[in-house]
Amino acid sequence: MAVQSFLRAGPRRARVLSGFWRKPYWTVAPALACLLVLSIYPVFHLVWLSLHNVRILPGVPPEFIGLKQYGWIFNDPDFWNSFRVTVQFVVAVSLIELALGLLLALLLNFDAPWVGVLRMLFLLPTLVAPVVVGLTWILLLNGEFGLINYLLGLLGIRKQAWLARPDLAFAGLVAADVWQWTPFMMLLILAALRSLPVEPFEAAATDGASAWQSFWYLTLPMIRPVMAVALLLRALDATKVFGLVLVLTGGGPAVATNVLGLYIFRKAFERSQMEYAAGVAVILLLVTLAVASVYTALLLRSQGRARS
Amino acid sequence: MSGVLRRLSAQTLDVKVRYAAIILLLLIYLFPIYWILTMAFKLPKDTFAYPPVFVFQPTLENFAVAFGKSNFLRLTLNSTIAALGNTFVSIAIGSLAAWGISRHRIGGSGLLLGVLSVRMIPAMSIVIPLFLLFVQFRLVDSFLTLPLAYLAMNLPFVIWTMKAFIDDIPYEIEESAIIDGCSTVGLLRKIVLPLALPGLVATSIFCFIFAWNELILATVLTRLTARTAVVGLTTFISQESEINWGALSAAALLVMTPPLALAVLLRNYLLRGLTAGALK
Repeated sequence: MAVQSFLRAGPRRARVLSGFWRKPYWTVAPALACLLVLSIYPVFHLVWLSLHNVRILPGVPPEFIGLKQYGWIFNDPDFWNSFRVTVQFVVAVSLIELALGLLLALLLNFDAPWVGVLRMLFLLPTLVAPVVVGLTWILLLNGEFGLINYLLGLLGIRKQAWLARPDLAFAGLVAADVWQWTPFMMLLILAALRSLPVEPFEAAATDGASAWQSFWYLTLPMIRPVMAVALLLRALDATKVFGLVLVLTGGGPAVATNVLGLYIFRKAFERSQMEYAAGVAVILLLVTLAVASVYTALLLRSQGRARS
Repeated sequence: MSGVLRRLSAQTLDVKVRYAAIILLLLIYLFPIYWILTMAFKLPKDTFAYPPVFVFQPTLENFAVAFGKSNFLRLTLNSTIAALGNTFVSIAIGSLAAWGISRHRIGGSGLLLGVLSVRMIPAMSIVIPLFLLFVQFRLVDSFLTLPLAYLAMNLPFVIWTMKAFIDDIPYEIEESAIIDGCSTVGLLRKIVLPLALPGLVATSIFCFIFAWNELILATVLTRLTARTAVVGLTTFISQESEINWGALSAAALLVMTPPLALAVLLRNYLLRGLTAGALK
């Protein structure tokens, strides 16, 4: 599992042999060529676009405008609204999913026939397209004939217009995402629980520690690194949310759930403000890479500590 | 290990209670999937019934509408072409690179971290330049479009995951083949490929599911010819003034069936693939 040794990788003898053999560089060439054209070049083009004013008229060269685009973006309340909504969404879903995922993992952490199948069944929502998850939750949250209003009605709570009120629409969005991704959190935490050493627990049991004590003082500290990694991984993914929001709320009511992904998409492809959208996309990329570098650093550090 | 775990869990919760709790929770948890499944077989009067009806006269009318009027069969076929095509190319190119990186340390840890970073680039960030690139090469809305575009997402995934799988294969077998004078191509084809097969299956499942479910690139890079089923679902919602929820549910059911069927059929590979990429 150690990431550092994983990165260094490969059996030691492979290196000795490859001293005789020339390294087969051709094996990585096609993959690198594809990634250069389809991932790396687009990133540079994106940054270039955000710094230029591209004229639609033929024969007129694009004009370099420096950071002006970013000035406009940072003065746009709609951008800040989308930024705030995205941050709120990411924080809400990753924390709720972590807490529920931990509970679910503890519940599923035992050995008995069929437990493997039960674990797998929990994972099914994770594999459904976010668009389909959105559709399913529209049906559940519908104010007229939705099942959730019906169930609330049985408890004596009156019908709510879930997708028409800003706070409720946001809550619905969070609920749908939590439904889809909590099992993924469970899977990562469960993997950590299953690989815990036995000795400390045996010693604690001998010393008469209660189940709660051994959870709080042994289990939790030992799985904390994995929980941190899982949290960041989910945060990273939640930053990219698009399909679910597009279908479930369409960014509305008004702009209450207009996450950055949706904001960029509409600016670029519905309002034809490509350069402006490119600027916002650069900001999204920077935010993602910031979270990603914390993730990678944590992953390397925790694995390094586990190794030593 | 399992003995201790069992004893520890027996302290806190009886196994039977645990089973009961899990199964109850699972029924609630999977209810939304069951609900959309029933919607697909309901007549319009039952779809909008309030209070919601649990017992109803099933009908196939919704599927007829989805296939007929909305041309959903064509969209599903397009999704299949895009997902299968991309999975094939990603696996072929990606595993080759993974082998080179694993066995010969090509590029060192810098290349691997680079691949990991590329994997984290959001699709929404590269979709604008990618669109301009595809327009320039007249590649928008063809059957090559999505298999190519999805390489940006799936290649880093395949390289990262397959490297983990190949690292776990003992090197001695390959070594003796090299000593016997086997060429690199022969080595890959006769020895590495069969040994890496379980890993290849696990990785393929995820490539396929990702490509099948992808929305952003599919929306921007396809029009009428190569539009996928997932994109079809979103236009269903935005274009129709009066949404036919029955037909829409039938279409949604068709979109979610292949990933779920793959997961259930190949469940042993699935769990391996899910954890391999994330924690290693």
